Amino acid sequence: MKRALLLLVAGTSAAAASPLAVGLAPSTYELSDGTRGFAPEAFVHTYLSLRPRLVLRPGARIGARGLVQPEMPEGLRITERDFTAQAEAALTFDGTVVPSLTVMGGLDVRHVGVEGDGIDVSMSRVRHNELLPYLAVQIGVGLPLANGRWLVEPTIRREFMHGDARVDWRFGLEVSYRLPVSL
Amino acid sequence: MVKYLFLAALLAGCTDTSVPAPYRAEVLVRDDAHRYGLADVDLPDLTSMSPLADPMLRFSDHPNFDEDQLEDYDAATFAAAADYAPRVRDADGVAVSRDIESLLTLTAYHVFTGVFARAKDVYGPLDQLLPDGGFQILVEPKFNLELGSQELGTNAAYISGGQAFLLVQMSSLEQVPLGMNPSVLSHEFGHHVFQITFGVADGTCHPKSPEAGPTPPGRFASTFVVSGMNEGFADFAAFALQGETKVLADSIPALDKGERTIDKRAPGYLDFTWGTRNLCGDSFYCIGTLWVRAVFEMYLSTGARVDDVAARGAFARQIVAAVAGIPARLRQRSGWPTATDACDFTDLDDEAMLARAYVEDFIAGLPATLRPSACTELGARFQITPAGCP
Repeated sequence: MKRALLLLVAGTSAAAASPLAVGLAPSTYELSDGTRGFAPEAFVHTYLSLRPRLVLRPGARIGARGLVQPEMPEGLRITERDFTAQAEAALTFDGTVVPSLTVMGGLDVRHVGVEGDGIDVSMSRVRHNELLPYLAVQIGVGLPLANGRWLVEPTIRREFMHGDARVDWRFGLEVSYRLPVSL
Repeated sequence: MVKYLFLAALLAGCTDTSVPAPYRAEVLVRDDAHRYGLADVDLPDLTSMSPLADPMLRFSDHPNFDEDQLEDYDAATFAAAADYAPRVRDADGVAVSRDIESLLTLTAYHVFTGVFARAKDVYGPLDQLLPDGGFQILVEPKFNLELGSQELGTNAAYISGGQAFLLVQMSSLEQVPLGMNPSVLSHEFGHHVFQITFGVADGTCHPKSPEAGPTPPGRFASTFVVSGMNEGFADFAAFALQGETKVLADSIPALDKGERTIDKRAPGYLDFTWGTRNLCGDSFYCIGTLWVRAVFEMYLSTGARVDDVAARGAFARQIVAAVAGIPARLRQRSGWPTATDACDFTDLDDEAMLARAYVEDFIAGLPATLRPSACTELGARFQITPAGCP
């Protein structure tokens, strides 16, 4: 425990001058009925220079899925609504554009609900919560704006969710703003 | 300490997806009053939950379905399709679905096994009814069609050459999902019974070796009229197996205008005849509805009750025998126009001629006790005096 605390303090010191950025990332993925779902995320990034122009971008993000449900019968619906929390680390290259390769890991909390209209679901055990480990790899190409204060980054992400093979590709657009503060 | 707490929290939240055999599952069930609810049932014949399969049913995962496969399919078409595994969790030994599609497949499995068991009582030994290799269930196939897909998007279907059933993507038009409705899946099973009776007797056309002439193999099955008779026969299967007289009422009440209702005493019944079938929409379904309405009245004329399973079975076996004999009698007739395009016999476009012939040859295959009511009921609806009828 003592060693972990020392590492944490050392890490905090190393990042003391790191800039901080916050952003939003709307994204879309395929629903089971072939239509597209919408999944917003919010994130925070910091930047650690590894070499000239090569930057490590650790961060954290939270998000939601299931805001749009696939088309289902009127009489019987099983809904899936997710809240996700992830840590991430990206390698980026500072240039005219900013390509990035990000690895993400976290947890997905899913609420599965059941609704009946004219169908009795009172005895059902479908309704429950799940905790699903989550991994993803994302590539993006950032476009710096306003002297790099804003970064607009189209992304493509391959997602892996333990226990749900339906989760695969997600396409998004990340917009981040570099705050006038540093860690 | 912290990491152990985190691990414990993680494990507590994780879902146990391994369900022990013998299997039980939560599915949609229907009682005799057509009330639906989710309840636990035994699945004693299920040999595997993941993938979902038993010796008679194998579920396949979202196969691609191209337009040419609709026209030229057989049992091998989808042989390579990936197996389907429902996403379930173990709730005290019961498989509980984690999404709507898994509930659809588990319920369809339960309903199909019930339909097969009832078919044994109604039609006879299963070894004559079910294919040796069993049926393949194509779960929400992805269609690649140029034609409109609305009907395909809200349907269950039977693929005769492929010995397969389709469970198509569910839609908000449905009340009770079609693929979970025992009456609808009995209707689809009825198409299989039509295939192994009329279809086998009619024969299979061979696109690469066309056989010209008035009655090449498969001449009649794909015509507009016989396609309609096939639908009527399938609605009759829903009656024989489930006592159903309004096959669409539970699933798509908004689209049910009474044109498929076979009991004229039922509320909302839409009456029409051969001459006024435009009231029904002029679909080939309407031709089949005329036939099955007549057959239903023939059943009532025997004095049997709708809820008498044994009586329905005895009656159904007589109907099936008569339908199986129709192709041979059709071929004995003269006057059919020559087929010029193998497997595309839509050139047999004299619908009244074929409908009359079908009705007459059906009546000819019935026991003498049923012929009087058949003459009356079919004659009135098709507006003919069938040969051999007074």
